[in-house]
Amino acid sequence: MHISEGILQGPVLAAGFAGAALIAAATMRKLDMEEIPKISVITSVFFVASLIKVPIGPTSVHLILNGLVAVVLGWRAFPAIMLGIILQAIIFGHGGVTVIGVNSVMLGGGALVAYMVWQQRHRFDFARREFIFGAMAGATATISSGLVLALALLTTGEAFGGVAIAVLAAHVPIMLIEGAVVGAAAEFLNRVKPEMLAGRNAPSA
Amino acid sequence: MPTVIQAAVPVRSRAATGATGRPAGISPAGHRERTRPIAAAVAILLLGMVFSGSALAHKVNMFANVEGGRIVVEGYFADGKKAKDATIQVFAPDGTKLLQGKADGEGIFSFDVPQVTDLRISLYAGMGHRTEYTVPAAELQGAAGAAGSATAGDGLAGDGMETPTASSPAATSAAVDPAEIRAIVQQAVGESLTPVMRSISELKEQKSFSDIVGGIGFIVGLLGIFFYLKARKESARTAGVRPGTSG
Repeated sequence: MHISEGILQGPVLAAGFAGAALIAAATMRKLDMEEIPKISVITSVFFVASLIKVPIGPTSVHLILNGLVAVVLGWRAFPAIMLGIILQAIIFGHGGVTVIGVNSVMLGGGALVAYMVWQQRHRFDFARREFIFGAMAGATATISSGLVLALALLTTGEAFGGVAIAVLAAHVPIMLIEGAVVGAAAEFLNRVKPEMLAGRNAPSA
Repeated sequence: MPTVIQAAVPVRSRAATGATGRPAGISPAGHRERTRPIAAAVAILLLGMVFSGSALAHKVNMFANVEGGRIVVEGYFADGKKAKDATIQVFAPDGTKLLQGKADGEGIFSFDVPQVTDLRISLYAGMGHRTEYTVPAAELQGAAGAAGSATAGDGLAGDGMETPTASSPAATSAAVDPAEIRAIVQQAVGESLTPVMRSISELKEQKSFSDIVGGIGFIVGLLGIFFYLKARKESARTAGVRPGTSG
């Protein structure tokens, strides 16, 4: 989903950097030292995720995993994803360097929306709660990021309606896979090490 | 409090050596045993998935090859899919758009050389995937003589295959014309080079293990330094009650 170099125009790129800087500052406040190792691991996972190719029938898609970052890091997902995007752009050339701001807002913002969905789980209590809400968070991350992508492409003159439908349709398989991966990961973490999940009120044991 | 200072010691050595690609967590002492196996398992699983088969990111790539008087452009995604119906534009060095077209079902688009200058070819495969390649004028110089027929084609997409132009109207002169020979040879060499160019283009895009480890090392190192600085600040402060670990 990363946008390449040379598609978006200057003002959009600048707005992307401004937005990314603002959101990053807001989400990095009072960063607790204890969170840093977790951020380090999950950022590495996100960084490598774009290299993982999942074959689906005749084609294949690559993972994004911003939903997973949201479920584990909560609000810190945004700076973590931004760091991942910077490195993906510089080292892999995945996504343009001038587009880092827009890509961060796209994938990081999608993660924040997914986190808000994930937090709704506290209203319920049933057996596979973490799996269901994890899957919803994963799918939501893909959808929200897709909408931001469509908005960005709108600025190039493509008709939003057509682009939005095309983007979302193309990402349906990704939505399903991300949902499955994040749901499974959330359930696994909940069973094994629940304090790794973001947004829990219980103190670590 | 003592836990914090204790944790600062291993962090210092990690930041100093520049962390390796194994993201083991440093947690308060009680969790170290449980964090490490999980983190290690995740790391191994990920690296295993990455290196099973060719793990390439979903990015559009292209290469362009000069064959006779035409340039053949091929767009493809790193996972092998062709860039069908991609939009291709060709620009002169000063930025004027010379021509535009669409790739066919195989992601291929070809056009006559519009002018003998550097040509910047841009390929847009939709949804934010774009790539560019500049054909240097030097490659076109030899080919100029071969563009014999006056097809100032506006380059709209058609079959797009490497159909040779009518560059060497055969047998109009009894004598063997060196210019004709050059044209024929260039055509043949150009066609043979297409698979080579494709391989080079794919090779350039492959991600090496050191790239990946470098990226992960950068992340861990950067955050390790951050961690170390924060730990120093903490231990320099007068001891106070710190709130419980955040989730």
